[in-house]
Amino acid sequence: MTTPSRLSQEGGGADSFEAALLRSARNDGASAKRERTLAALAIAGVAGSVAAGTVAGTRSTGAVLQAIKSLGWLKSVAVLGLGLGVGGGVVGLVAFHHDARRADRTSAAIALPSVMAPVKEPDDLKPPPLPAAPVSPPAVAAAPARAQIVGPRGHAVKASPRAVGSADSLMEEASLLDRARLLLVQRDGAGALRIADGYLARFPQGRLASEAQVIRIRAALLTGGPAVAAPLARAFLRAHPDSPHAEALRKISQAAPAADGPGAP
Amino acid sequence: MRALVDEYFGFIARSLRRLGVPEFELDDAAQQVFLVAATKVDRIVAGNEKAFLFGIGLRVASQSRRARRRRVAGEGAAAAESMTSVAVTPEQIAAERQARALLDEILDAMPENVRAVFTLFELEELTMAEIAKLLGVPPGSVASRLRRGREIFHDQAARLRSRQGGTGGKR
Repeated sequence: MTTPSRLSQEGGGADSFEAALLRSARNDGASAKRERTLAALAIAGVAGSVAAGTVAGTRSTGAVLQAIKSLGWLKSVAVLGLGLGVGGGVVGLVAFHHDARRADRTSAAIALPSVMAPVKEPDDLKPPPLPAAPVSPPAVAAAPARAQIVGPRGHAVKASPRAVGSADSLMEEASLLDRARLLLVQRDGAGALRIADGYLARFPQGRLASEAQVIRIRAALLTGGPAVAAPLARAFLRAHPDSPHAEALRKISQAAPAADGPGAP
Repeated sequence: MRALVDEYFGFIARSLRRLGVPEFELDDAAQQVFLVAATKVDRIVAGNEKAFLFGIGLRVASQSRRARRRRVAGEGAAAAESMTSVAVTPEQIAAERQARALLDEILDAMPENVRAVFTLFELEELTMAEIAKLLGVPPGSVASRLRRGREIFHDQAARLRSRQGGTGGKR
C-alpha cells in the first residue's frame, strides 16, 4: 500500500490557511493527565496493585495485566483491590490524610490502617487545600466567616472539630466522595452530584468539602454542560485561585462565556 | 492496566481530542477509555492493544459528541458558535485556540469513520497500513475514507474562508 504525502507536508496539498489549521492540533491531548486515569482505575478498584503502583510510585509492568487475565475480572477486583473498599479507600484516605496534614500537622495524627501508611499521594489526587465554599456564585459571595487556621502554604484551612477528632467520620467522608468520583468516571453526573450534595449537607464543615465542590462542578459539567459548570468553576476559582484543581477548573470556566462579572478568571 | 496507560495514554488522549472530545472533557473521556478497557481486559489480544483501546476511544468520543449535541440543542448553539464566528484570515488564525476551534468545526463535518482515518493519517501521521490494522478495515477503505476526508477538509476550509471573506493562500 502506498502512503500519500500528508496534507501539511511540502507539496501535500494544503494551503497556508489549511496548514495552520492542521498545525493547531499538534498539542492535542497534552493537557490530559495520565495520573488521573491511573487514579480513576485505582478508585474503581480495577486492581489494588494498580492503586498501589500508582500511589506508591512503583512501576508495575505487564504482570498486572497478566494477573488480571489469569484471575478474571471479578476475582481480580476481590483479590487484588478489594474493590472500592480498598482501591478507592486508599485514594480517598490518602486524600484525607494529605488534607489532614495540611490542616493541622500536630492534631491530624489519626491512626490510619498500616496499609495506608507508606503510600505516597500522586499530585493529581491532592485535594484542594482550602475549605469549603459553596459553589454557586451568590453563595460564594455570601460565604460566612468560619473558624480557620492557616495551612503550610498560607491557605486558610478549615478547622473542623469533627474532621480532626473522628477518624470514623473522616473515613465516612472519604468513602462518600470515593463513590461520587467513581460515578464521575462512569459519567453518571447526576449520581455524583447527588452524592456530593449529600456530602455537603451532611458534612457542612467537612474536611473534604472543597473536594466535594470540585466533584459537584465536574458533575455539573456532565449533566448540564459548560454553560452550567463554567460559572460554578469561576466561582470556585475566585474563592480558591491556588487550588490544585485550578488548572482543570480553569479549562471548564473558559468553556462557556463568562456572564458573572469582570472578576471572572 | 498501568502498562497500557503508560504506553497508550498519550495516543488515546490525542485521538479523543481529534475525534471531537472537547479539551475540558478530555481527562474524563480518557479515564473512561481505560476503565472500559479494564472491564474487558480478557478480550485484549497481545499486540492488538492499541487497536482495542482506539476502538473504545471511538465509542467514547461518539458518546461525547452526542451528549454535546443534545446540550447544544437544548441551550442554543451560541456558545459553540462564539468560538468560530470571528473573522478568519491566515493572519488571524495565528491565535492557536481559534485555529483549533476551526479545525474542530471542520472535523465535525466529517462522518465518524472518515474523521478517524483523516485524523490518524494527517494528524497522528500513521501509515495507511497502520490505520487499516488499527481500525480493522481493508486498505482500500482507508484510502477511500482518506480521500473523502480530504475533500471535506478542503471544502470546509474554503467555506470558513468565504464566510468571513478571508484570503487563504493558494494550494
